Amino acid sequence: MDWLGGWLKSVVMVVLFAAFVDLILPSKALERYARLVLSLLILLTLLSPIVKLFTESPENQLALELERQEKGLPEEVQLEQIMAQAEKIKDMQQSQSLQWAGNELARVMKEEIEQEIGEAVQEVKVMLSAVAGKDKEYASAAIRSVDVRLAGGELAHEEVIKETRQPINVTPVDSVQVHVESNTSERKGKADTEEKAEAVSKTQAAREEPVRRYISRRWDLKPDLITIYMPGQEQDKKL
Amino acid sequence: MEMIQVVGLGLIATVLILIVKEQKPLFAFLLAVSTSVLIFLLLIGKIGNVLSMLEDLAENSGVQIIYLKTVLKIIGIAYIAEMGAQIVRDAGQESIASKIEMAGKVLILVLAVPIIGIIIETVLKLLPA
Repeated sequence: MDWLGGWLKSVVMVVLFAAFVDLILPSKALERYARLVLSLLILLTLLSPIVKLFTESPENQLALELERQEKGLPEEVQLEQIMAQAEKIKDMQQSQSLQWAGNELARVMKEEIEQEIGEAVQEVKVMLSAVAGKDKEYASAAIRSVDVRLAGGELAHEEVIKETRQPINVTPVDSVQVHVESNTSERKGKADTEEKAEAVSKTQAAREEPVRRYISRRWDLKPDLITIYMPGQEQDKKL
Repeated sequence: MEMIQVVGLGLIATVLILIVKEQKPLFAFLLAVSTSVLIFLLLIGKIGNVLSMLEDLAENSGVQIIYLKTVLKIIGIAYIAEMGAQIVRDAGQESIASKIEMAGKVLILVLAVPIIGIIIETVLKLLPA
């Protein structure tokens, strides 16, 4: 019986409000229109038990509609804006997670190359791209490219890795110092680096091949996705 | 007391307007506008009291606030439209006055749109498919 009491109360109150408005209305011109709206309101109140069966909280719906009218926002635009924002945030999240996964993958690759093949690796970069699955949801990620930057050691043994790593850091510094000192020594330094580059390029293919083969086998990748930079190449770029 | 104030203000304004109207009809119109605004401002405090009382009543009796809001909007639109239309009509612009009234009618009917929507939705759901 509680709902009946509430319903009766609200009906009485709405009718009272309507009568009040009817009294207070200023002119005959607007009377008919105001009466129409008021009668609709009373009808809605009378029907409210039935309406509640079919629609969820008609009052909230009404409030939402009225607010939308007041602010003059079309419904679709509002929804589209929110959807676009959500899409943007999703994309950002996705790219962040891809980046993180790429870094992690690169770390694992670097360790494995050092352990399995015995090459000293300075840096591994893995670019991931999302693969769209059903319903435009991103189901998985695929490796788009792998850049392996080998360290500048001539000897490809694990024992030498630590030693070979340090010269890489030092050699560019050396060449810069030479550049500052004098012309003759600069030439000497340049000649040195050129010689070094030539020497490296001879062994390039021999060093590249096992790394490339290992990565493509281990991670099931096409070999042309893998780019391997030799220390000589890197120096060229820096110079 | 307020009633006497309002009537006095109205009388003085009427006399002034009658005097000024012969010489400068424009100033008579401005005087009419300012008088009506002044009377409205005098009444605003009282209207606030009535509205807060109505809101309390609605809250206590468990009526949805949205119904009261709609009713109050109707009153507001009606009054503002009426006031504007009458001022313009006094200035002799009957056509503009009728346009203001039309705007008032349309805006009141727009308030009915969501209500009609809900009622029709319910009726359609009641009918067997």
